[in-house]
Amino acid sequence: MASHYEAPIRRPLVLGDKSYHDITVDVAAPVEGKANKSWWIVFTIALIAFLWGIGCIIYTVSTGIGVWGLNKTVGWAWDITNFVWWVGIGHAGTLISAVLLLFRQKWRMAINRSAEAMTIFSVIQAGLLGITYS
Amino acid sequence: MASNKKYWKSVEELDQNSSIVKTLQENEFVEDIPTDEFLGDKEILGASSTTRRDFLKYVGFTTAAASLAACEGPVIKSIPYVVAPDEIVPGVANYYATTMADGFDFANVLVKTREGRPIKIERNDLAANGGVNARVHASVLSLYDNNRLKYPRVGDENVTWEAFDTAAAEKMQNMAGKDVVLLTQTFASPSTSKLIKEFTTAYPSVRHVTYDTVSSSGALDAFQQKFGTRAMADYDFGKAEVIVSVGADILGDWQGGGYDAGYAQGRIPKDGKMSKHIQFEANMTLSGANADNRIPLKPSDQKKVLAALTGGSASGLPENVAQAVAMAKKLMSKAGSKAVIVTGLPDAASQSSVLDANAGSVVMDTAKPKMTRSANNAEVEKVMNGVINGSVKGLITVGVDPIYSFPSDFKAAYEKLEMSIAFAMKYDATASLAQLVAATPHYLESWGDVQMKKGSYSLIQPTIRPLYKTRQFQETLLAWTKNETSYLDYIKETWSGVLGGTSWNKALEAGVLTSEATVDVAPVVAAEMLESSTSNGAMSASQGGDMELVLYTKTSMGDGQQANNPWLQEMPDPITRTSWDNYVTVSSADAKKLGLINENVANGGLNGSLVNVKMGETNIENVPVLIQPGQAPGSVGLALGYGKKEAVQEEMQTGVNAYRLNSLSTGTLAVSLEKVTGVHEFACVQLHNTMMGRDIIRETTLEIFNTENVKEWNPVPQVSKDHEEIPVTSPEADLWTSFDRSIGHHFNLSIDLNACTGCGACVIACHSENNVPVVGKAEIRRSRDMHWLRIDRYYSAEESFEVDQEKKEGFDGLFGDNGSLGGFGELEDPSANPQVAFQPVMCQHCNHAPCETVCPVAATSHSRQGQNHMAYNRCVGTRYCANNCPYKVRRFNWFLYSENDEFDYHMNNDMGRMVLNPDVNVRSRGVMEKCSMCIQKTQLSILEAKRDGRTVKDAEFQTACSNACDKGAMVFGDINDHDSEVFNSKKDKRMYHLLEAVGTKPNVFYKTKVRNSTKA
Repeated sequence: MASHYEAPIRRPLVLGDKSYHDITVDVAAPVEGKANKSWWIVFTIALIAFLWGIGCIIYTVSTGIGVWGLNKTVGWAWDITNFVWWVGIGHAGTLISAVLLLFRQKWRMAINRSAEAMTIFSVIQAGLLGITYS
Repeated sequence: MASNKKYWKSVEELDQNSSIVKTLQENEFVEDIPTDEFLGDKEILGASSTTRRDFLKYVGFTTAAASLAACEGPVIKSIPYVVAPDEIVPGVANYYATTMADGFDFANVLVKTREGRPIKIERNDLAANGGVNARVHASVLSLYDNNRLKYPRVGDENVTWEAFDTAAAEKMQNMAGKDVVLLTQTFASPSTSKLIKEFTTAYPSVRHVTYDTVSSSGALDAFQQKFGTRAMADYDFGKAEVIVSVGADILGDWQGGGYDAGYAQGRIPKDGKMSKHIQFEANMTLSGANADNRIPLKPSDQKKVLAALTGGSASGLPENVAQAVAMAKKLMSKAGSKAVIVTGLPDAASQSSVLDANAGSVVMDTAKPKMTRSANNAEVEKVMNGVINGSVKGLITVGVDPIYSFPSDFKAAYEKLEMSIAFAMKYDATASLAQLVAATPHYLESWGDVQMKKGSYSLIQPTIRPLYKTRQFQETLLAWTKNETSYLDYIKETWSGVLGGTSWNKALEAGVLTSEATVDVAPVVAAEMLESSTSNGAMSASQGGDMELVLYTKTSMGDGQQANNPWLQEMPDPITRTSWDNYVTVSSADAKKLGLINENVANGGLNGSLVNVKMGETNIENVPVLIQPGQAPGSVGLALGYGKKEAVQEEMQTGVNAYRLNSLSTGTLAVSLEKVTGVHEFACVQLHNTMMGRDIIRETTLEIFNTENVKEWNPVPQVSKDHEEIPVTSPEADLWTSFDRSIGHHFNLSIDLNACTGCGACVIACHSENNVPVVGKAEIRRSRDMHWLRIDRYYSAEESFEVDQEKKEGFDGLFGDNGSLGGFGELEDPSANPQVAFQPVMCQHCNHAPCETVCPVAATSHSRQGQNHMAYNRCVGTRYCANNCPYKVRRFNWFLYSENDEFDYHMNNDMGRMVLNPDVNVRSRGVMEKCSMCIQKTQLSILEAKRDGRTVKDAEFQTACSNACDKGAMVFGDINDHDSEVFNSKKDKRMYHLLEAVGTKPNVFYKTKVRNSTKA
């Protein structure tokens, strides 16, 4: 049963006579099913990094920003570098998305999504740093 | 990608007038919310036990409880005065005149008390005696030292004074007929001398010996031999035209110290004249740093120089030294009676030759000599050996800690004594081993009298009730001699002869009294006196070292009595700028020979090699090495007063005990250094030592100052506008329009670099006035010192700063001999015998402050009175201001420095917090702070004048630093008052602003340093 249209000029991308439902199931499988081993490994690493970050923030907030090793002449070092880093990444995301929009690139949707997501998250990061750093 | 498609919900929407569409647009909900279902049902509502009132009660209670739990305030108990003392008005400070006399520091002071507790030490203007140095200012914190003895002790138990007296009486009875030594500090007190005499009469087996841990034995012997009294000649360097010093640190603690104020007077050029100071010395001292000519010489050569200067020949001396000697001789003969020569060589023969040489000098005063030292080292040594060989059976120590400070290992012998009684403020090395320990009070809790100079009497009065169960040594003596009078009455009795026409109360109010009356001061037994002078200080071969050791006392630590004082531990040494340590200072030549290094490491600290210092049998291990520019090759320096372990908090057990190195000797000390593995981490606050040819400190010579136009030696920096050079002070160069500052007060602070000797009294005064926290060694090493006021010290890279500048101006291109690449590298290293200059730097209170423009929350702003304010509770801690400050004077609270166990200094205990100034808040974490120009003091002066309905007098405006400076180097005042000193000072042609080219228009200004370059 040809449940979908097949282009005559290129080979079909979906083989094996699958229905939309089958494809949906295939695509959603990693999310809906049980996570595999490598997912857990990567997740554990990310979780540790996250907890480490939380720990560092708690240490900073409870002890004071002296823990970064700044001093009376070097008033900003780690904090401004980190802040500018995240803000910079945020800028990059906006820039990519804006450039693609201005040039009316039809294929931009996927890239824009990730670029804008990146922007939002790095601005959140920068904001977080801004809050914890002062 | 806008779409023109329109979606329809129903056909009804076609009809524009449809009522259904209208209703749907107006109502959010198509149907009513069915509240009736449960509210309308009387049964359900009736069954519920919660009434509306109950509900509101619950809500109210929970909200109130939650908010109460969240904001439970800290409970601070305060007890009101039931009967308020007349003299105490809450919020108003009382000042009492008293005197510090701890055997090392003697000074007339005013004590500021708030609500009955002393919080600050200030100078007593009525006193002619100087010596209110950094240690004296810091002594108020030692009052609140947590490690003080709180009870008298017998054995290992705290007892009452009655029990103590009984135990002591028993001991004393058993000692009848046996040799008992009463080893005391120098009291210089007429009443105490009298009392001790009565005591030794009552107990004939007791003999009194005084012991100065840092003694002037040789000078005393020489003076006694010549003039009959055991005292030291007094000098007024303000009268001198030529000062030649051979190893005497006249601006430090030489012969009791306190000479710097007089010295500074003569150093300010007046009518084209100032004194000429030539210094021959081994260690780089404050005196050498301030001298016009400094010749580094080891002590054995100093002896030759002294001989040459006092009449001998200069043969055998190196050429440059011989030249300097010839110049000094010529200048001295020219100045005649206004010349003076002093020496710090410890032997009596040298001291004696100086007394002879100065016979006709107006600078030296032998009629009214200084009494602040009295010990005879030979006699002390005999006591020490007597205890060791067992001939001395009993030892009563008062205010001294021989186990810590005797050069020999005294501990075992001390424990074997039949009787050991220690009068001590702390459970120090001696007290902790003594059978009986009498807890003595701090001088701020005591009565007393002092005769610092013959004929100049001072009184000590308590400024607070004793904090602990302590009793003065003198009260104890009175009790032991069965004398019923109190010590106060005893002093009054002694003073009946001294007072003359003055009343007791008047004298007590002034704290000082000059009187021609003489009181009987117990002469120190002079039998053995000549022994030490005949030994002549010859170098003993047995010591067997190739380096000559010069023991010195640091400006901050002195003889080490206040080792548990965090202010002093953290105070950087004025020369090395290193805190929390003592170290061996060696010359760069010797360091190279021994392979010793100092380096600035990546984490921003200074590291140094370690050595073992050996003198005969004594070996001090792992002493850090600091390579000191200007140290005489062949000599090393080591500071006394460190390495205390007993009754000293762990953080403050710093350094090594240099007293072990034959500190009683009056001869030359020979040591050998042996490099050991390992590095020492210094807490040094200044790692860049030179000015790189810039004019941060402006300096000129007397000749140029007298002859050349001011533009030549103190030019106003030029800036370029439209390609034309204009002075930075012109309104053209200004971005902003200026305010009218002629109305009201406008504060300025003048700092005369000629008068500043770098003593650091202002640093500690600022510390105590402004509740500046102590951060500890590790934090200092991370460059996080909190001092609001620092004294920068610069060395010249060439032989003088002038040559540095010439060298910088002469750079041509990047490479080659005159290239700037290599040239700047050379300018970074101080010369082997550099010129030294000091510069106190605090917030410059710029009228165009770079910090103010960048603060995002306007926490720092300018006042009409010229002060740059800091609103602490506005500050969010961006540190933008500190980054933008060209003077780097802002300090950030990286951590919580008060009530934090990580910073266990005075602000972390109830006792130590008593020293805090209630007029200045203690800053919390995350807040920027800096010098406020003591706004609490200026406002007080203004309010007092307003209350009295008068204008403020010039001298009333003071900052803590200007008040502490007895040299007149810091003058504070209102420049809108055209009669004020600071106004006149600002018109002086030596005036300049720090980094003036930046255009910040500071309210602090400096006065160019002038060196007397007269060549004879």
